[in-house]
Amino acid sequence: MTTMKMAAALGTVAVLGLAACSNGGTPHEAATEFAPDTEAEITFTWWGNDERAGWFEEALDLFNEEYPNVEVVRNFNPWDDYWTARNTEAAGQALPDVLMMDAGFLGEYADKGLFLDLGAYQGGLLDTGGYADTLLESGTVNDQLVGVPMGYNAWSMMYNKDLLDELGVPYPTDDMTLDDLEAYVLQVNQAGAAHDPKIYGASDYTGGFPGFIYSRMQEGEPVFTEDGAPAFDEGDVVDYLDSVADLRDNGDFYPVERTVALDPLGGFLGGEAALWFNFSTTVAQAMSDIGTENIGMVQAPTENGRHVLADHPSMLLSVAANSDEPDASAVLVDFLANSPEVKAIFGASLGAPPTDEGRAAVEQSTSDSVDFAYLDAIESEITESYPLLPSGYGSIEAKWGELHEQLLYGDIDTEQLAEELFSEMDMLLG
Amino acid sequence: MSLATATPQTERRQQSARLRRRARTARGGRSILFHLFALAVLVVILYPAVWMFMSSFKPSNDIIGSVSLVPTDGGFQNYAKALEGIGGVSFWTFVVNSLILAVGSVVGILLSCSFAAYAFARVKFRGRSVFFVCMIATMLLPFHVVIIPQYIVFNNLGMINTYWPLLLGKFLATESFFVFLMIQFIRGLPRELDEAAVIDGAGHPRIFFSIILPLMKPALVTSAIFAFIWSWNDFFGPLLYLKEPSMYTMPLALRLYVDQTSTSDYGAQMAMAILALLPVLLFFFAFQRQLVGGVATQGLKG
Repeated sequence: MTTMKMAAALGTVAVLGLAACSNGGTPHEAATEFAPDTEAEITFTWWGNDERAGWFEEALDLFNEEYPNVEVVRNFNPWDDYWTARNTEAAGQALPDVLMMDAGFLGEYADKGLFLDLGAYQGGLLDTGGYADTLLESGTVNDQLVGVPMGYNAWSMMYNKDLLDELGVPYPTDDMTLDDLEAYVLQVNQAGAAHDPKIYGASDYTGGFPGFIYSRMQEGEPVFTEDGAPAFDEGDVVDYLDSVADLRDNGDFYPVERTVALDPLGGFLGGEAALWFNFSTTVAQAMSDIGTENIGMVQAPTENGRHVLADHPSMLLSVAANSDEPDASAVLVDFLANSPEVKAIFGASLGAPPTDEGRAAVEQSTSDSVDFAYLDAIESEITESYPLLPSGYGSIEAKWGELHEQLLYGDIDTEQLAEELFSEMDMLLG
Repeated sequence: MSLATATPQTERRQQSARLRRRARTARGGRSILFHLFALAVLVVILYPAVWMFMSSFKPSNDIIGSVSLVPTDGGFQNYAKALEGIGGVSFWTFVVNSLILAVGSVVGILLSCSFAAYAFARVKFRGRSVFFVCMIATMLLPFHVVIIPQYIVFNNLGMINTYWPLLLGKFLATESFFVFLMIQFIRGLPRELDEAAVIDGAGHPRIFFSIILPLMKPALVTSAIFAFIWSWNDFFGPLLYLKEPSMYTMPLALRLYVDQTSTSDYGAQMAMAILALLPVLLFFFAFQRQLVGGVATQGLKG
């Protein structure tokens, strides 16, 4: 694992170094028409599990019904390995023609000129008419459309109804303040103390960077500046972490030792904690890992109980700048992004379909309906684009998680955490 | 008188028998203690392996977070799932791919490294020591340093998504560990044998094939075993160079069951891990005697 991380890091470094030297190249004239019998071979790569691979097979079969002579060579890896392999390919200017991207890595790759500007195809081979502007904005870097969101989701708080019913604790509501949340966690702890295993309210919910972004958004504060520097200081991080200092110091959070023992599941997915903070799409993962369909979802609590939310692209499709078949690649992106049949295959597993037409085509599973109902309920509160994340964001998010674990073990305090986070950001963000 | 002398003798004999007995009991006690301790250590060491084996019979939800060995709802469903394959690719495709690479590596390494080793050990040529140092230096070079340049080279050669990047080096004696191992072995063989052959009119090819190669058998066997196991277990090389699930090897396929961002099938992964272990285990048991023998010979002569 260490070897792989190191390799991934090295890959990233090489991306920075090598890709920077080879930004040139003749700009491609974007075609506006693509005859269905055109012959082409393109490569397409995504991350995910066996199930997703099966769905992509189906979707690509549909694509081949429409474009029988475009051969799509497909590949997939699990999340960690995906980035190791892509980083190496990026260094060799050999990315697959079409690849799945994550919002956390989009900026980093786009800054190095690794992606084609799909803006040239908009209105032609690529139809983005049904997309909300806030969502398209999140696939745009330096005024170039480099990623088309396959789906979107929003930050949420999920709760395990089975556990809460068993303990006789009422479900959390959509207008809770941070104080309410603290009281709620204690209430669950108290009710779950006699349970075997002991049930907790939640793991420490300051443990991830997205939670911090959510908290900044509520205050109307930016997270990163336009040139990719942090728009917050160490004090902000310390304040955020110290907002739950009481709970943390009194051992009221799900114990870190147990989280580590259950890795990669953790308290909520292991069925031993009632609340979970994550993007709404992950409800499908929660239902499958916990083995229940009784998961509820509300807005994550804020200081005053009112919310500012953003649509977060859950997965984007990008076309590599080194592609020999940019037109065919754009056609594939358009097909996967817009075809209602494709949306019907994937449901909400790639995020809620961004277009109304796509959403209507989905035969909703239980997790899809929880996700869609939540997204509908918060529609009026989605007023922001998800902040554009700078190059190196992925590593910063990972660092936050790592440092937070040390904090929970008591190896460092919140000020040291902030200090180390900033020295890491200095290095990564330049 | 005779009685008087006999008594102390008998007594002494009895005494020493008693002492011996006591010593034996004490030894026996110590030995039981030692064995108990050794067994306890064995349990600790073997526990993860046994856990993995037993988990392969459990449903996925029971695996993570459970330290228990006994499956409550056991069965072979995970094996059925693993044998079904993944991503539309059959399990046997992964086995065949892994075997192609492993056998290819063994052949490549035995052929090329033995030639190279013979040259370094027995042929005098200009710059031999410089080349030798260069070869040793590649052993010191961490793999991570060469990943990217190597990838770019193979990419420019159009060899990505073929087995060439994973095999070519093996046929060109770039595995300096094996070259070095064989050099040391050849250096331990008496030169008189070569000289006798030279007097009989043998050239280098004849000496190599008729004298050195047959005598090198222990070194060849050791290299073959290591080459097989390393290639079979290699994850990183195939991850970088193979771009289609139908080309994937066992270690890559193994990882496809677990994805942090979607649902994971830990049961199938455990079953697959056991299945992936089997060939290496069999290989090891079949060649265990030669392996130990080979390593021991290296130790003595190297």
